[in-house]
Amino acid sequence: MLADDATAALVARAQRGESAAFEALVRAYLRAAYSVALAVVGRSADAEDVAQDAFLIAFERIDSCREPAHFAGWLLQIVRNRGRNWLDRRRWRDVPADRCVAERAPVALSSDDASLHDQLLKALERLGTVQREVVLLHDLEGWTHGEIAAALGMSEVMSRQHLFQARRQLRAQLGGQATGGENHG
Amino acid sequence: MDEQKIDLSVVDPSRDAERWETLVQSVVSRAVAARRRRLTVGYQLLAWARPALAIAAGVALVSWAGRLASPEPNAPVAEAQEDPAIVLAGWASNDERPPATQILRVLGERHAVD
Repeated sequence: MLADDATAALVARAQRGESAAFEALVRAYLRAAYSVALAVVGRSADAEDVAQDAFLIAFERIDSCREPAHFAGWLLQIVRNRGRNWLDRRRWRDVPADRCVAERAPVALSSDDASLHDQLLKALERLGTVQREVVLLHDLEGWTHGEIAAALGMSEVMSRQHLFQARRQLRAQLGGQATGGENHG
Repeated sequence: MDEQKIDLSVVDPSRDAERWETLVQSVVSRAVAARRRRLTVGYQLLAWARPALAIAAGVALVSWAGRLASPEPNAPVAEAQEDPAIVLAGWASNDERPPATQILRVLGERHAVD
Protein backbone atom coordinates (compact mmCIF):
# COMPACT_ATOMS: atom_id res chain seq x y z
CA MET A 1 0.00 0.00 0.00
CA LEU A 2 1.23 3.50 -0.78
CA ALA A 3 1.99 6.00 1.98
CA ASP A 4 -0.78 8.51 2.68
CA ASP A 5 1.13 11.49 1.30
CA ALA A 6 2.06 9.62 -1.88
CA THR A 7 -1.58 8.62 -2.34
CA ALA A 8 -2.72 12.20 -1.73
CA ALA A 9 -0.29 13.48 -4.36
CA LEU A 10 -1.53 10.92 -6.88
CA VAL A 11 -5.16 11.80 -6.17
CA ALA A 12 -4.39 15.50 -6.65
CA ARG A 13 -2.78 14.72 -10.01
CA ALA A 14 -5.70 12.48 -10.98
CA GLN A 15 -8.07 15.34 -10.13
CA ARG A 16 -6.14 17.43 -12.65
CA GLY A 17 -6.74 14.66 -15.20
CA GLU A 18 -3.24 13.16 -15.42
CA SER A 19 -3.59 9.67 -16.83
CA ALA A 20 -0.27 8.54 -15.31
CA ALA A 21 -1.76 9.23 -11.88
CA PHE A 22 -4.84 7.16 -12.75
CA GLU A 23 -2.57 4.29 -13.70
CA ALA A 24 -0.48 4.55 -10.52
CA LEU A 25 -3.64 4.49 -8.39
CA VAL A 26 -4.98 1.46 -10.26
CA ARG A 27 -1.68 -0.38 -9.81
CA ALA A 28 -1.60 0.49 -6.12
CA TYR A 29 -5.21 -0.30 -5.21
CA LEU A 30 -6.84 -2.61 -7.79
CA ARG A 31 -5.86 -5.75 -5.86
CA ALA A 32 -7.25 -4.28 -2.64
CA ALA A 33 -10.44 -3.36 -4.48
CA TYR A 34 -10.60 -6.92 -5.80
CA SER A 35 -10.08 -8.33 -2.28
CA VAL A 36 -12.97 -6.35 -0.83
CA ALA A 37 -15.14 -7.11 -3.87
CA LEU A 38 -14.42 -10.82 -3.45
CA ALA A 39 -15.34 -10.55 0.23
CA VAL A 40 -18.71 -9.10 -0.75
CA VAL A 41 -19.68 -11.01 -3.91
CA GLY A 42 -17.84 -14.30 -3.27
CA ARG A 43 -16.87 -15.13 -6.85
CA SER A 44 -13.53 -14.26 -8.42
CA ALA A 45 -14.82 -13.28 -11.86
CA ASP A 46 -17.59 -11.11 -10.39
CA ALA A 47 -15.10 -9.55 -7.99
CA GLU A 48 -12.90 -8.47 -10.88
CA ASP A 49 -15.86 -6.83 -12.61
CA VAL A 50 -16.96 -5.11 -9.41
CA ALA A 51 -13.43 -3.84 -8.71
CA GLN A 52 -13.15 -2.43 -12.23
CA ASP A 53 -16.57 -0.77 -12.06
CA ALA A 54 -15.79 0.69 -8.66
CA PHE A 55 -12.55 2.17 -9.96
CA LEU A 56 -14.35 3.76 -12.89
CA ILE A 57 -16.94 5.25 -10.52
CA ALA A 58 -14.15 6.46 -8.21
CA PHE A 59 -12.37 8.21 -11.08
CA GLU A 60 -15.63 9.72 -12.27
CA ARG A 61 -16.12 11.18 -8.78
CA ILE A 62 -12.46 11.83 -8.05
CA ASP A 63 -13.14 15.57 -7.60
CA SER A 64 -15.40 14.75 -4.64
CA CYS A 65 -12.67 12.83 -2.79
CA ARG A 66 -12.27 15.33 0.03
CA GLU A 67 -9.51 13.51 1.88
CA PRO A 68 -7.05 12.37 -0.79
CA ALA A 69 -4.79 10.76 1.83
CA HIS A 70 -7.69 8.45 2.70
CA PHE A 71 -8.37 7.49 -0.90
CA ALA A 72 -8.17 3.79 -0.02
CA GLY A 73 -11.02 3.94 2.48
CA TRP A 74 -13.10 6.06 0.11
CA LEU A 75 -12.47 3.66 -2.79
CA LEU A 76 -13.20 0.55 -0.73
CA GLN A 77 -16.53 2.01 0.36
CA ILE A 78 -17.44 2.44 -3.30
CA VAL A 79 -16.35 -1.17 -3.87
CA ARG A 80 -18.56 -2.38 -1.02
CA ASN A 81 -21.59 -0.48 -2.31
CA ARG A 82 -21.00 -1.63 -5.85
CA GLY A 83 -20.57 -5.20 -4.61
CA ARG A 84 -23.85 -5.11 -2.68
CA ASN A 85 -25.69 -3.78 -5.74
CA TRP A 86 -24.11 -6.51 -7.81
CA LEU A 87 -25.17 -9.11 -5.27
CA ASP A 88 -28.76 -7.82 -5.30
CA ARG A 89 -28.93 -8.05 -9.07
CA ARG A 90 -27.35 -11.51 -9.00
CA ARG A 91 -29.97 -12.78 -6.54
CA TRP A 92 -32.65 -11.82 -9.05
CA ARG A 93 -31.13 -13.49 -12.05
CA ASP A 94 -29.22 -16.47 -10.60
CA VAL A 95 -30.16 -19.93 -9.42
CA PRO A 96 -29.78 -20.43 -5.66
CA ALA A 97 -26.17 -20.71 -4.50
CA ASP A 98 -26.51 -24.32 -3.32
CA ARG A 99 -27.63 -25.43 -6.79
CA CYS A 100 -25.10 -23.29 -8.56
CA VAL A 101 -22.32 -25.01 -10.48
CA ALA A 102 -18.81 -24.30 -9.22
CA GLU A 103 -17.48 -20.96 -10.38
CA ARG A 104 -14.91 -21.05 -13.13
CA ALA A 105 -11.77 -19.28 -11.93
CA PRO A 106 -10.87 -16.30 -14.13
CA VAL A 107 -7.22 -17.36 -14.10
CA ALA A 108 -6.35 -20.68 -15.73
CA LEU A 109 -5.64 -23.17 -12.93
CA SER A 110 -4.43 -26.75 -12.74
CA SER A 111 -7.05 -29.27 -11.62
CA ASP A 112 -5.60 -29.33 -8.07
CA ASP A 113 -5.60 -25.56 -7.87
CA ALA A 114 -9.09 -25.37 -9.35
CA SER A 115 -10.30 -27.72 -6.63
CA LEU A 116 -8.53 -25.68 -3.94
CA HIS A 117 -9.95 -22.49 -5.47
CA ASP A 118 -13.49 -23.85 -5.09
CA GLN A 119 -12.87 -25.12 -1.57
CA LEU A 120 -11.37 -21.80 -0.55
CA LEU A 121 -14.31 -19.82 -1.89
CA LYS A 122 -16.72 -22.11 -0.06
CA ALA A 123 -14.73 -21.74 3.15
CA LEU A 124 -14.62 -17.95 2.75
CA GLU A 125 -18.37 -17.94 2.21
CA ARG A 126 -18.85 -19.24 5.76
CA LEU A 127 -17.06 -16.25 7.27
CA GLY A 128 -18.65 -12.88 7.96
CA THR A 129 -18.11 -10.19 5.32
CA VAL A 130 -15.78 -8.14 7.53
CA GLN A 131 -13.74 -11.24 8.40
CA ARG A 132 -13.41 -11.98 4.70
CA GLU A 133 -12.35 -8.40 3.99
CA VAL A 134 -9.72 -8.48 6.72
CA VAL A 135 -8.24 -11.86 5.85
CA LEU A 136 -8.12 -11.07 2.13
CA LEU A 137 -6.57 -7.64 2.64
CA HIS A 138 -4.04 -9.03 5.11
CA ASP A 139 -3.10 -12.44 3.72
CA LEU A 140 -3.67 -11.82 0.02
CA GLU A 141 -2.93 -8.13 -0.39
CA GLY A 142 -0.39 -7.88 2.43
CA TRP A 143 -1.81 -4.85 4.19
CA THR A 144 -0.92 -4.21 7.84
CA HIS A 145 -3.56 -4.03 10.57
CA GLY A 146 -3.04 -0.25 10.70
CA GLU A 147 -3.79 0.07 7.00
CA ILE A 148 -6.80 -2.24 7.22
CA ALA A 149 -8.14 -0.42 10.26
CA ALA A 150 -7.84 2.98 8.54
CA ALA A 151 -9.40 1.78 5.29
CA LEU A 152 -12.27 -0.21 6.80
CA GLY A 153 -13.03 2.17 9.68
CA MET A 154 -12.25 -0.09 12.63
CA SER A 155 -9.62 -0.33 15.35
CA GLU A 156 -6.42 -2.30 14.89
CA VAL A 157 -7.49 -4.57 17.76
CA MET A 158 -10.69 -5.43 15.91
CA SER A 159 -8.74 -6.05 12.74
CA ARG A 160 -6.49 -8.51 14.62
CA GLN A 161 -9.51 -10.25 16.13
CA HIS A 162 -11.24 -10.61 12.77
CA LEU A 163 -8.05 -12.01 11.25
CA PHE A 164 -7.58 -14.47 14.10
CA GLN A 165 -11.13 -15.78 13.82
CA ALA A 166 -11.05 -15.91 10.03
CA ARG A 167 -7.78 -17.85 9.95
CA ARG A 168 -8.96 -20.28 12.60
CA GLN A 169 -12.17 -21.03 10.69
CA LEU A 170 -10.45 -21.30 7.32
CA ARG A 171 -7.81 -23.63 8.75
CA ALA A 172 -10.50 -25.81 10.31
CA GLN A 173 -12.25 -26.13 6.97
CA LEU A 174 -9.26 -26.41 4.68
CA GLY A 175 -6.79 -28.29 6.86
CA GLY A 176 -3.18 -28.35 5.70
CA GLN A 177 -3.99 -26.88 2.28
CA ALA A 178 -4.57 -23.47 3.80
CA THR A 179 -1.17 -22.90 5.33
CA GLY A 180 1.08 -20.34 3.73
CA GLY A 181 4.80 -20.00 4.15
CA GLU A 182 5.17 -16.71 5.99
CA ASN A 183 4.37 -15.79 9.53
CA HIS A 184 2.33 -12.66 10.05
CA GLY A 185 0.22 -11.40 12.87
CA MET B 1 -2.74 -15.93 18.37
CA ASP B 2 -2.97 -17.77 15.04
CA GLU B 3 -0.04 -16.15 13.30
CA GLN B 4 0.45 -18.27 10.24
CA LYS B 5 -0.74 -16.73 7.01
CA ILE B 6 -3.46 -18.46 4.98
CA ASP B 7 -2.39 -19.25 1.43
CA LEU B 8 -4.89 -17.38 -0.71
CA SER B 9 -2.82 -17.39 -3.88
CA VAL B 10 -5.38 -19.47 -5.82
CA VAL B 11 -7.78 -16.53 -5.72
CA ASP B 12 -5.06 -13.99 -6.54
CA PRO B 13 -5.97 -12.47 -9.91
CA SER B 14 -2.45 -11.15 -10.43
CA ARG B 15 -0.85 -14.60 -10.48
CA ASP B 16 -1.34 -14.48 -14.24
CA ALA B 17 0.79 -11.37 -14.74
CA GLU B 18 -0.07 -10.85 -18.39
CA ARG B 19 -3.79 -11.07 -17.80
CA TRP B 20 -3.52 -8.75 -14.80
CA GLU B 21 -1.61 -6.18 -16.83
CA THR B 22 -4.39 -6.25 -19.44
CA LEU B 23 -6.93 -5.68 -16.68
CA VAL B 24 -4.99 -2.70 -15.28
CA GLN B 25 -4.62 -1.14 -18.73
CA SER B 26 -8.30 -1.68 -19.42
CA VAL B 27 -9.36 0.17 -16.26
CA VAL B 28 -6.94 3.03 -16.94
CA SER B 29 -7.95 3.47 -20.58
CA ARG B 30 -11.67 3.36 -19.73
CA ALA B 31 -11.19 5.88 -16.92
CA VAL B 32 -9.19 8.28 -19.09
CA ALA B 33 -11.70 7.95 -21.96
CA ALA B 34 -14.60 8.64 -19.59
CA ARG B 35 -12.80 11.72 -18.22
CA ARG B 36 -12.20 13.08 -21.74
CA ARG B 37 -15.84 12.46 -22.62
CA ARG B 38 -16.95 14.40 -19.54
CA LEU B 39 -14.89 17.38 -20.67
CA THR B 40 -16.72 17.71 -24.00
CA VAL B 41 -19.25 20.53 -24.45
CA GLY B 42 -22.10 18.13 -25.26
CA TYR B 43 -21.55 16.14 -22.08
CA GLN B 44 -21.38 19.31 -19.97
CA LEU B 45 -24.65 20.54 -21.47
CA LEU B 46 -26.26 17.18 -20.82
CA ALA B 47 -24.95 17.20 -17.26
CA TRP B 48 -26.47 20.66 -16.70
CA ALA B 49 -29.70 19.88 -18.52
CA ARG B 50 -30.79 17.20 -16.07
CA PRO B 51 -30.60 19.23 -12.84
CA ALA B 52 -32.00 22.31 -14.63
CA LEU B 53 -34.97 20.27 -15.77
CA ALA B 54 -35.43 18.84 -12.28
CA ILE B 55 -35.34 22.33 -10.71
CA ALA B 56 -37.86 23.65 -13.26
CA ALA B 57 -40.16 20.73 -12.53
CA GLY B 58 -39.81 21.35 -8.78
CA VAL B 59 -40.64 25.06 -9.14
CA ALA B 60 -43.69 24.22 -11.27
CA LEU B 61 -44.85 21.69 -8.70
CA VAL B 62 -44.46 24.11 -5.78
CA SER B 63 -46.27 26.83 -7.72
CA TRP B 64 -49.12 24.47 -8.60
CA ALA B 65 -49.38 23.17 -5.02
CA GLY B 66 -49.36 26.73 -3.66
CA ARG B 67 -52.21 27.67 -5.96
CA LEU B 68 -54.19 24.63 -4.82
CA ALA B 69 -53.60 25.38 -1.14
CA SER B 70 -54.45 29.11 -1.25
CA PRO B 71 -58.15 29.97 -0.60
CA GLU B 72 -60.41 31.45 -3.26
CA PRO B 73 -60.46 35.24 -3.09
CA ASN B 74 -63.54 36.10 -1.01
CA ALA B 75 -65.66 39.21 -0.85
CA PRO B 76 -64.16 40.93 2.23
CA VAL B 77 -60.65 40.67 0.80
CA ALA B 78 -61.82 42.02 -2.53
CA GLU B 79 -63.58 44.84 -0.76
CA ALA B 80 -60.57 45.65 1.33
CA GLN B 81 -58.62 46.18 -1.88
CA GLU B 82 -61.14 48.80 -3.01
CA ASP B 83 -61.47 52.40 -1.88
CA PRO B 84 -62.87 52.37 1.71
CA ALA B 85 -65.24 55.24 0.88
CA ILE B 86 -66.84 53.19 -1.89
CA VAL B 87 -67.06 50.13 0.35
CA LEU B 88 -68.68 52.13 3.18
CA ALA B 89 -71.12 53.75 0.74
CA GLY B 90 -72.02 50.32 -0.60
CA TRP B 91 -72.71 49.03 2.90
CA ALA B 92 -74.84 52.09 3.70
CA SER B 93 -76.91 51.93 0.49
CA ASN B 94 -77.52 48.19 0.91
CA ASP B 95 -78.27 48.61 4.60
CA GLU B 96 -75.60 46.05 5.41
CA ARG B 97 -74.16 45.55 8.88
CA PRO B 98 -70.69 44.10 8.38
CA PRO B 99 -68.89 42.69 11.40
CA ALA B 100 -66.54 44.96 13.31
CA THR B 101 -63.44 43.09 12.11
CA GLN B 102 -64.37 43.73 8.50
CA ILE B 103 -64.93 47.45 9.14
CA LEU B 104 -61.59 47.67 10.90
CA ARG B 105 -59.88 45.86 8.04
CA VAL B 106 -61.33 48.24 5.43
CA LEU B 107 -60.50 51.33 7.46
CA GLY B 108 -57.09 49.93 8.32
CA GLU B 109 -56.30 49.54 4.64
CA ARG B 110 -57.15 53.15 4.10
CA HIS B 111 -55.10 54.23 7.10
CA ALA B 112 -52.12 52.25 5.89
CA VAL B 113 -52.35 53.95 2.48
CA ASP B 114 -52.41 57.37 4.10
